[in-house]
Amino acid sequence: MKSSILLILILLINQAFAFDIRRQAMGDTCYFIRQKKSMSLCQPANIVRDDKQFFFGHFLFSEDMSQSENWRKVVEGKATSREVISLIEDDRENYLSNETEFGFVGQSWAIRFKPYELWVESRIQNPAYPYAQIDSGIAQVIALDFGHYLSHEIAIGLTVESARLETLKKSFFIPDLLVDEDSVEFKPDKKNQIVASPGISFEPIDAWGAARYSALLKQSYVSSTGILYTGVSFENEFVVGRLEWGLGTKFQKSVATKPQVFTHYQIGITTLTTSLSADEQSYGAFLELKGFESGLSYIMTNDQRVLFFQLGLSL
Amino acid sequence: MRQGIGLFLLILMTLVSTSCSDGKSSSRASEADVFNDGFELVEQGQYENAILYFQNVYQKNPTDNALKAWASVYLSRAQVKISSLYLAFEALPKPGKVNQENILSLIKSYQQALEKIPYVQVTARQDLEIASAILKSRNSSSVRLFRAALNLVLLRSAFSDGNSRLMDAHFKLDFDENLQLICKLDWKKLRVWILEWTRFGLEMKQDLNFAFPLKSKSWESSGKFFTESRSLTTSISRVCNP
Repeated sequence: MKSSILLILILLINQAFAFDIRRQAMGDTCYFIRQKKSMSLCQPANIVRDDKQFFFGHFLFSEDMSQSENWRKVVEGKATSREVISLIEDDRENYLSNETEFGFVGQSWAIRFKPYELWVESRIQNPAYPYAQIDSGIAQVIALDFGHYLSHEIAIGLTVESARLETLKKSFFIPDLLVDEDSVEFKPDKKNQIVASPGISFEPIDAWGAARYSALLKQSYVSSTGILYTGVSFENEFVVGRLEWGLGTKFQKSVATKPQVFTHYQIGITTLTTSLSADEQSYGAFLELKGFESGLSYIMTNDQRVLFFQLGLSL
Repeated sequence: MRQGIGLFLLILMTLVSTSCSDGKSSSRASEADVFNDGFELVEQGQYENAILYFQNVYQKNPTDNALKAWASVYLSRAQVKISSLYLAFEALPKPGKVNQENILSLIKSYQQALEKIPYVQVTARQDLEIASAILKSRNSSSVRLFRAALNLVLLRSAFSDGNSRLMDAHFKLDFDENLQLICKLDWKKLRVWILEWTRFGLEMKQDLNFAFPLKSKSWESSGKFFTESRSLTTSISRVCNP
């Protein structure tokens, strides 16, 4: 059995990374593990640690896709009050997201393009006089990732993402929508956003066999709300499969800090992931066979239960 | 390896300091964040605390939404939900011809239309009256719509408390004969009953006219119905207590 220790420090600045649905689908596990290259794009420094070069495309979506088009109209500000009411009235909680991504991953760089990404989170409170909150958006993203060895132990990386965002964040009493069409204005906020994410990965070979430390800073140039992730993880290689597991903590302004435990177990073509904290639990199962990937992940938060499906192909 | 650790820490420190240097974030909580705490108190059944909470929110920032949130706690305490009640406004009967001759029949038929609206017990009705009084602080379309909804519930509840003997009576075409029939009932109680629910009905009509100025014609016949019903009390007094 080969064991190693990983210390992972991840710094995320800005809450406007809603377009990072892949992270949502895997919980925070995406940042804490270094498994396969398509996942390692969460940490650009890891690009150079894998020799594979490939084209890829993937499609990720949450279970309730039937209302995608209607929600798209809402985000674009084209829906009437009645249409908004019909979308939110039936469910107290609503979560919907999907993304399509294509790209090429080289030995030390990658280029990715998301032509369309939609996310919607809505919530209704106060049944006596219903109060709705909608947080939604549409994004097109182009991203470049670079990785470089500073030494045989240290790799650094940088991801630069340019996103065109249309976001709609609104809270209102539902009956107000009836007063007149303009009583609650549904106008999307359009903006361009550049996010630079420098990262570092440190793997000293002579400490516990193959220890790894890494850090990632995601910095947006639009907003400045920050999230800081720190974590420590261990790796065990068994006769059957390989396990990465650890403990991570997320720090965010005005939000209570809750540690999370994560595991990532790979056996043959199957990978199982878990990420558990007091306010979010995620479970995932992924299959990879001859370039074809598929996966299911289930996220539970205090307010939501979301099932994600993922399909991918790499050549 | 020691050199590697040093370099790693150096880069890490740079990342941390970069993250800390950007300090433009706003510490001001959004309306939704502020309301969330109050709504949680309501969910936990801590109505007194929720009332104080939203009263405080309104006093600090007097907006329509803060006022509605405050008033809505009283609805929660009265176990009333105004989720799709607005549809009831459109379901209200719009009698074509309203006059003293047919008003008694119309009152009888009105009962059926109100059945879709929740009935609130007398004890809980006090909360709705308080909520309605609170909402008088502001005069916007959305606040008046809220008051209209409250008045509709109060109208329905007051109406359903009414004189069942009146509802069972078979009225004739002749208005004076009908009044004679009413005089044999408990007409004083009946008079108070009509005054009570028509008060809510007329207030509701005014609120709806304010909330939907372009649709005021839709409520015109309903308004006439309440006015005529109210006039009926004068006729009852005149005939039964000459």
